[in-house]
Amino acid sequence: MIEWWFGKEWAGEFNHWTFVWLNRPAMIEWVLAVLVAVAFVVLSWMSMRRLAVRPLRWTLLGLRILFLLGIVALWWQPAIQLQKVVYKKSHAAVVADQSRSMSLKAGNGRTRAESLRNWFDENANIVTGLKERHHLRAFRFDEVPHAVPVADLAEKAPDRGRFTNLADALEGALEGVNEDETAGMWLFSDGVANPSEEAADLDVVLEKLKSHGVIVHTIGVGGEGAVADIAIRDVRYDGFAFVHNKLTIEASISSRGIPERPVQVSLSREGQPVATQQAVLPAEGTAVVSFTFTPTRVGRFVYSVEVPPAPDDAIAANNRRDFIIDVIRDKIRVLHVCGHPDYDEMFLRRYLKNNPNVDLISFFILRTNSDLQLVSERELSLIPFPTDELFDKQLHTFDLIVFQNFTYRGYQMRQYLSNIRRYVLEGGAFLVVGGDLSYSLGGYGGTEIEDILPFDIVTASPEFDAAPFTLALTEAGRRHPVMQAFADTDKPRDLLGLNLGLIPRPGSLVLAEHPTRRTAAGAAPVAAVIEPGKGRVLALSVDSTWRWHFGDVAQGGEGALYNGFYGNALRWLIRDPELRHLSVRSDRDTLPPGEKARLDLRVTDEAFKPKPGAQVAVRISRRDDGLRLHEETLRTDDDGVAVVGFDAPEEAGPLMVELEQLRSDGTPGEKQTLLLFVGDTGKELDDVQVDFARLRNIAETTGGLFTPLDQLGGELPAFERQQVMRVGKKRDVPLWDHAGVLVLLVLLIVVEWWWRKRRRLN
Amino acid sequence: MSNPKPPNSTERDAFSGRTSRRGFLTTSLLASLAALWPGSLSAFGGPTIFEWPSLRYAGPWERRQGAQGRLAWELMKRTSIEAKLEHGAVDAGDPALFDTPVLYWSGDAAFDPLPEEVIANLRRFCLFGGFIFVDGNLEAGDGFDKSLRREMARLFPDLAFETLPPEHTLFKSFYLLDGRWGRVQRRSFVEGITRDNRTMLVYSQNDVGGAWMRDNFGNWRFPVIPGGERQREMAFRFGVNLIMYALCTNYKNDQVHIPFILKRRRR
Repeated sequence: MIEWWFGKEWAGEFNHWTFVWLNRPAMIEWVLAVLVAVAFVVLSWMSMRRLAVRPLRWTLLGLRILFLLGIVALWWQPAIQLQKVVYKKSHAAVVADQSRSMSLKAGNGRTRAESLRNWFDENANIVTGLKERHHLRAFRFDEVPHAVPVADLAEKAPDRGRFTNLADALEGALEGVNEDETAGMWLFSDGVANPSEEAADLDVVLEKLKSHGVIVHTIGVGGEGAVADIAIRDVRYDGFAFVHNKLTIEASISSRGIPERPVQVSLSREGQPVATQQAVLPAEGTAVVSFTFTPTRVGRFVYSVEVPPAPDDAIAANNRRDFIIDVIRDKIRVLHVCGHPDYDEMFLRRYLKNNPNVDLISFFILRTNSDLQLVSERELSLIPFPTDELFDKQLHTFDLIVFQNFTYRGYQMRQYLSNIRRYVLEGGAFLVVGGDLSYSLGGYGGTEIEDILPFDIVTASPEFDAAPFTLALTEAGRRHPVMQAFADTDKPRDLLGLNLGLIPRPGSLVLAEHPTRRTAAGAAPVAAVIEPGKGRVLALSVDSTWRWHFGDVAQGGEGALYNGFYGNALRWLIRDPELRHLSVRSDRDTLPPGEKARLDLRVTDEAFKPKPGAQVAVRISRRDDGLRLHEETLRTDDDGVAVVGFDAPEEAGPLMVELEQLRSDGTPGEKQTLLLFVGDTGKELDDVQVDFARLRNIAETTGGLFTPLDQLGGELPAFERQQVMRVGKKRDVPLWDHAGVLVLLVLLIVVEWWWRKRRRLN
Repeated sequence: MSNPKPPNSTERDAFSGRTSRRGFLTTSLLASLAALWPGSLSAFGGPTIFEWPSLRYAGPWERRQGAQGRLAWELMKRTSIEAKLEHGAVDAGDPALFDTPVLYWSGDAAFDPLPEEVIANLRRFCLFGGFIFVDGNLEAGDGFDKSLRREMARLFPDLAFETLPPEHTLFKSFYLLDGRWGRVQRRSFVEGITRDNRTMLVYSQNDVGGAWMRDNFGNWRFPVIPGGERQREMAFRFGVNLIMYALCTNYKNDQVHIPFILKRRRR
């Protein structure tokens, strides 16, 4: 036709033609054209509807519509496009599953992977033959597709993938090729989809393939109902639990291909039995077993749920699930001792008592020896002050001791002050609140208590200042977590009264001071901290912090400053992990075997400012045998942060991460440990049955065929699109600018006019 | 060591502003008590020690003014609490309401509804930590009682007065008591409004403050009815318990105290 129309020269140059519009109208032009056309047709119809002769009416209307179409055609510029077209082989891909589920028995004595390799080996000629029809690529896939030489499909694959991302495999097989030039894929799989969180959506990918005409023929590997297996499918637990509080762990156990049977499911902690439960596993289904127990030790432990394997159990590994639970202290045990009831005691006790995280033991001195004792003890509710019990026998059981405006004098407890000092040096927390019975007024100068305070107690006259004042945060106080509640307060309510004769000691950190009062060493301290030995001490030289609470209430608040201050103080004093100078975090407790793992370290200085250049020694070892896996010394960056990267071992089991901050003189500083677990985090072997229904669905959605591998024989289903057309050179030959087109249009309108005149129509 | 202390300069001014006889008597009493309990004065400035102002409202609020001072003496004599001897008054609508968290509200006659802002202020005062003792003297009629209950319904629409049971901490916060003590024995119980296990407001109809008051000559201001110094002593004990409860809340309900208290109650 090209030769007939355009001559021999062009026929030699082009071998294909197509009709095209050279002027592609914009949307607004479309809208205008439609509106004009509708108006034109409607007006024409209205002008002719009274014509009695129906053929004439339709003929005239037809001429006008033809004229209108002619105008539109001129506008859109029709043309013939001459093309030089070449035909080439289409793309195709063989996509083979190598996820862990392929290691399961196929029912023919071989594993699914072995069956597949065997088929590729026996039918190498078929696969090779595909290369004659297609540009053939081959992929193996688990979490992601891996391109492999076609010949390697018959070779052994690692089958270690933790996930089966079918959608990613299909999408990845198209990467780097034009989808419209791809005929399709042959997907060999057991159909078990175990997508990771970041996997693509299978339905979306299938729709995309369908829209490009890419067909997927699926080949099912394995046999339906061929595997018997008991597996722990899921364990539900909280990542942390409170010691001495009931904790529930729930395990879902599936049974496939095994007759209904009773089993004993066990829960253990670090290999030690915790509880057992009897359960009846259905022949095909899931049983849920619940363990409720009370952890009795604080720490981070590896717990395991285990169910014994059946005699013909396909996979023993999925009969056990290990996980880490952080057992934390349920409540902070606080001893609150107060010299006499007052407003500050009123609010602090109420704060501590209402704090659900605090187990409060209070002892208030309601009557001293100097008070009149007019009635018998029987008429009083007073009890003896059990100093020996509190400050000797039970002292170690407290996380925090609060001396609120309390003097030891008069209670025969001088001998216990050394116990309190030892308690702090060994890691205890001590909060001292000022007042008329504190510091020098309480007779603490020169005692063991002074040794652990952030102040030296010196002689001062007067020993207190009663004038109201508003505290001023120091530079350290602005950064210190204890004072963080002040960040949101423009001007905290004034305080009433200040203990004097307190000189900050070396190693202490003054967080707030009096705005004008001076001591020999500078401004009079109001709040200061120190860390003697392993302990922490916060000392306040005031007894009116309650005014922060009621001051806020007076302003319409709810005591946020007061609650925030004491909340932060408690957290800092008891070394809340969030407030340690050296902290380490892992994004997951259970690491996949052999994979890269990452730990984030953060180091702060005494004022909780990020500490750049801090040296931290990191040691990572297997906990069970102590085998060292990773060791390095890091320096923190400008943000006080350092990252540890290491490879998780291939063997499952607990890992111990040990960190030690190295001081500038090389001596050890703060230490930190973190227990991690290496284990299979995927669910690849949770459900061992093949899922041929999914493979059928993939095939049907894309127009392909599903065939079980054992029925495949020596032929693979073919694709219609074996060749694809590629346009090389092309040339447009306009039709609209031909003189004949203009004549035709004029002729149409003339004929219409002539006919109307002839029939005497307007 | 907690010891009574002579009034600070502010207190002396307040005393001297009244009658010279009263000032003399008060000063003498202070001096004698100071001599009775030796030791140095050690409390912080006046504002940090216990103060119990009266609630000033459009009603008969001032007729028991001074009762708190008498109780304060007893508190210092009998307990470790450091208290002011002179207690002022505060308007409920004044931000100064939040300068002290314990309030004395007395009355003996009906009063007009409190302004809305006063109600809102008192509500915040109670809900966020304050404590009010309402001391009703109903000898002349129950007008105060009716007015108070009307205002309570506005203050705490979701809470109601409840009779405080004998095991309430108020009755064991220092002395082991029951709840019927006051200048009169109109009711054998006291009522309270409790929220989150804390009684924010205690109401007695027995004119407790009337039993505490002395005149300028040191005589008891009002006779106790039906009578007997035992009744007056018990009214003071009730007052001590009130303040102990206000400052320590349920301290005496802590587990460690319970065996001792039960043992003494059984005797």
